[in-house]
Amino acid sequence: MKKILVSILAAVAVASAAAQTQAAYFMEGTTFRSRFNPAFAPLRGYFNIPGISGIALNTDGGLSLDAVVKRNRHGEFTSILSPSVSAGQALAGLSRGMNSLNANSTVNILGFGMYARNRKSFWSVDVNAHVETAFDVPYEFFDFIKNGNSNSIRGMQVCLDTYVDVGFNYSMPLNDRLYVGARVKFLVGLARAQMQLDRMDVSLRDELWYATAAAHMDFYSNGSVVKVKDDGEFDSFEFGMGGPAGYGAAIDLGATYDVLENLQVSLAVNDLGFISWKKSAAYNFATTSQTITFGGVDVDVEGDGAGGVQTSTGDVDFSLEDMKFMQGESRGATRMVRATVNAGVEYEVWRHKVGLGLLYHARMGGYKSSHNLTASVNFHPVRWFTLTPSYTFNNNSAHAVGLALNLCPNWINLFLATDMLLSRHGRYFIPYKQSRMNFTFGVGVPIGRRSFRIDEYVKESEYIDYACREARRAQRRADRASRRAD
Amino acid sequence: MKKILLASLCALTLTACIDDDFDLFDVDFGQVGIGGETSDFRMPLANITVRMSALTSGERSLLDVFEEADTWLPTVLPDGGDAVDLRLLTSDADSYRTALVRATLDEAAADASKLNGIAALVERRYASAFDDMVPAGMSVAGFIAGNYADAVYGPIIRSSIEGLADDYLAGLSASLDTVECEIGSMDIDDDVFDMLTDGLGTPDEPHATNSLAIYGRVESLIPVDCRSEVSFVGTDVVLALDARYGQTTEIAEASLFAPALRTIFDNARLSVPVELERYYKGCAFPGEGQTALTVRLSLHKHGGMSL
Repeated sequence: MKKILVSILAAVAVASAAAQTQAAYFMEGTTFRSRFNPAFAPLRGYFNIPGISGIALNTDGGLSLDAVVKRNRHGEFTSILSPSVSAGQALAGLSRGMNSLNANSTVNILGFGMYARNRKSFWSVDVNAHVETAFDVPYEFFDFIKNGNSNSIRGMQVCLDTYVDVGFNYSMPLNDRLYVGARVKFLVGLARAQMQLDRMDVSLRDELWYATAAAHMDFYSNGSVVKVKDDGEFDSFEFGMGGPAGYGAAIDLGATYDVLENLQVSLAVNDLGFISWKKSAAYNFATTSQTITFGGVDVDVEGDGAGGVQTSTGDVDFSLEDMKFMQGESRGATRMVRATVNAGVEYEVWRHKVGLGLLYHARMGGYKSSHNLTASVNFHPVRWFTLTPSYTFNNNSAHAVGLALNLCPNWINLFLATDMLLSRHGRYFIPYKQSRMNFTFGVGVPIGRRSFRIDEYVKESEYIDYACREARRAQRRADRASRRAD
Repeated sequence: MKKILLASLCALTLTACIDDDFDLFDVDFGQVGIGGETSDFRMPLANITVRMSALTSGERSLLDVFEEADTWLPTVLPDGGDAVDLRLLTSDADSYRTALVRATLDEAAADASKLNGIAALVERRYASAFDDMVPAGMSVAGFIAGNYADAVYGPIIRSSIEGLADDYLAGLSASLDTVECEIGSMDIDDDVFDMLTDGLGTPDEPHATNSLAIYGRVESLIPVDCRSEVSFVGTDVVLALDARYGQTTEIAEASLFAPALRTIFDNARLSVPVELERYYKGCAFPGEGQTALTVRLSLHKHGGMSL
C-alpha cells in the first residue's frame, strides 16, 4: 500500500508533461504543426534531427506541484501524505471532486517531409515515441489519509501507456481555399500499466475498524519483470522495454478553409484509434472484494469452579496484508487512444505580418475530458521568424501565459515554446504553481522545395524560377511525346 | 540598446520567479501516513465479558456473599436510602455499621420471617457460636427463634447475633477476590502495531505531540458499585475502573508506549482487585452464568499513523 502511494506522489511530482504547446498551432514554419492539424504544412520540406527534433512535454488536469508538495512545520518540503503536513494545509490545494493529472511526453525519433511538385501538396513521415500517464485520485482518498475520516472511495486509478507511432501524413488542396489532410498511423504498444481501485470503503471508529476494497492491476509489457509469490500474490513490478506488447492504428483528419483572404478557419480530429494489448504480454491481478473488520478481541471471563477464573478469547485476524493482489488469467485488452480536437481561427493583418489566433483544444478520454481555449498574437515580420505570445484558459479553472519562437532560415529550423514563463519555479526551473504546463523544443534541417501556400512568403524570383522549371518540364514532355509520335 | 534592454527584462522576469528552496529532487516522498500531528484515532482493542461466576470470595460466589449480607442488613435502611455504603461499613467509625445491625435486630424482634432467616443462617454457618447455649436435642435455629424475646436468653442471643453481623459487614467491601485473567495473544498485524506506536518516543522522552493511550468503558449489571485499579501484568499500565450499577461509565485514559503495547498484544494478563463501594439492596443479581460486567477497551492515538 505504501509503495503504491509513494509511487503515485513521486510520479505526479516529477512527471513533466509533453504534448503539443497550443501556442505553436498558428506558427507556420514549425515542422510538427501537422500534428495539430494534418492539413497544415511547414514552409519547406524538412528532415528532423533524431532525438532533438521534437521534444514535447505537458501536463493538464487540476493538480499543480505545490498542491502535492508542501512545506511542513519543520520547514522541509515533503509530500502531502506525510503526517508532518497538517490536514488543512494538505487539503487546501485539492479539488473536492476528482483530482486528475495527465502527464504526457512525445519525442520525435525520426521525421522528414517534402512538398510535391505543385508546392502545395505536402507529405511527411514521422516516428514518435509517446509516454502518457494519467492519475485520478478522488478527494475522499485524501480526506481519509489526512483526517482518518470514514469514506467511500471510488474511481481511483493510475495509468501509464508507452507506445510508438509511425505515421504518414498527406495534405493537399481541394481548391484555392480548402486544404484537407490525413495522417495514418501505425501504433506499436511498448508497455501499459494500470492500477484501478474500483471501490474502497474504510472506517476507523472507536467501536470498529473496517475496510473493504476491490481493485485490479494490469500490466502489458514484454520487457518488464513482474514478480509473483508462490501463492500467486503480486510482489513487484520492474519496468523494462522488450518487444511490442500490442499493436494498433489511428488516424488524424483535418481541414483548413480560407473564408476570406485574411481569415482562415481550421478543424482537426486527431488520434482516432486504438491499441490492442496482447494477451501473451499481459499480467493481470485483482483483489477479490476483500473486507477487513476489527471490533476488538472478544474475551469471556468466567469461574473455573475452583475459585479461579478461566478465559476464552475469540479468534482475531487483523492484518493489513489481507488486502492482496492475486494473479488472474491473462487477458488482452483493447484501449482507445485519447483523441483530441483542435478548432482554430486566425485573422491576418498588416500584410500577413501579424496574425490574431484563437484555438479551442479538447482532449477526450480518461476520467474527464480537458478543454482549453488559447488566444495568440503571431508576429511573423519575415518568413523565417515567428514569435507568438499566447494566453490559455484551461477548463475554466486555470490559465497560463505562453511564448513560442520559431526560427527557420535556410539552414535550420528551430522551435521553442512554453507556457511556464511567468509561473513561479523551483530549482532547475521546474514550475510548481501551475496545474497545466507545456514545453516543446525541436531542431530540424530544412530541405527541398518551399511552399507556395502563402503568397506573402513567396518571392517573385521563386515564382519565376518555378515557372521556368515547369515550362522546361512541359517542353521536355512535349519533345518526348513528339519523338514517340515520330 | 533596445535589444539589450528587452533581453535583460526577459531574464529578470524569469529569474524573479525562481524559488531555490523548492527543490523537487530534495523532497522526501518516503513518509506516508494517515492523519497528521493533530489527528486523533480510536481503535477497538478488547471486549471483556465478566460472568457472575468469575466474581468470588474464596469458594463463595458474589451471589452467596450478598445473600448473607441481605440477612444481616435490615430490610429497610435506617436512613431511608436505597443503597448501603460499604465503605462506611468497613471504616473505623462504626456508628453507621452499628445502626444497621441494630436496625436488623429490631426488625428481627418485630418480624418473625426476618428472625427465622437470621436463625437459619446462624444454624448453617455459625452454629458453633451457640454451642454453649443450645440445649441438647434442639436446633440452633429453633433455639434462636424460640428464645429471641426471652428475658434471659434474648439479650445473649441478640449480643451474639450482633457480633456475627458486625464482623461480617465490616469485611464486606474487601471480600471479593482479585480477578486474574489471561487474554492471550491478540493476532494483530505488526503493521498495525507500527502504525500505532510510530513517533511515540519513550516514557523518559515522550514525543511532544504524538501519544497513545488505552481507555474504555464499563457497563455494570450487578447491584454493587465497585472500583478497581486494573493493571496489565508486565507493564506499568493501570486503568482506574469505576463500575456503577445499571450505568456505563468511562475508564480514563492511561498512557501507553511501544513496549507495553507489545506486551498487551502478545499476551495481555490483567490483575483486577475489586473494592466494593455501594450495595443496592433489593436489586437482583444476574444469574450464575450471566454477564456481570462488560468492559470495552480501546486505544487512542494522537498524531499520525505511518504506513
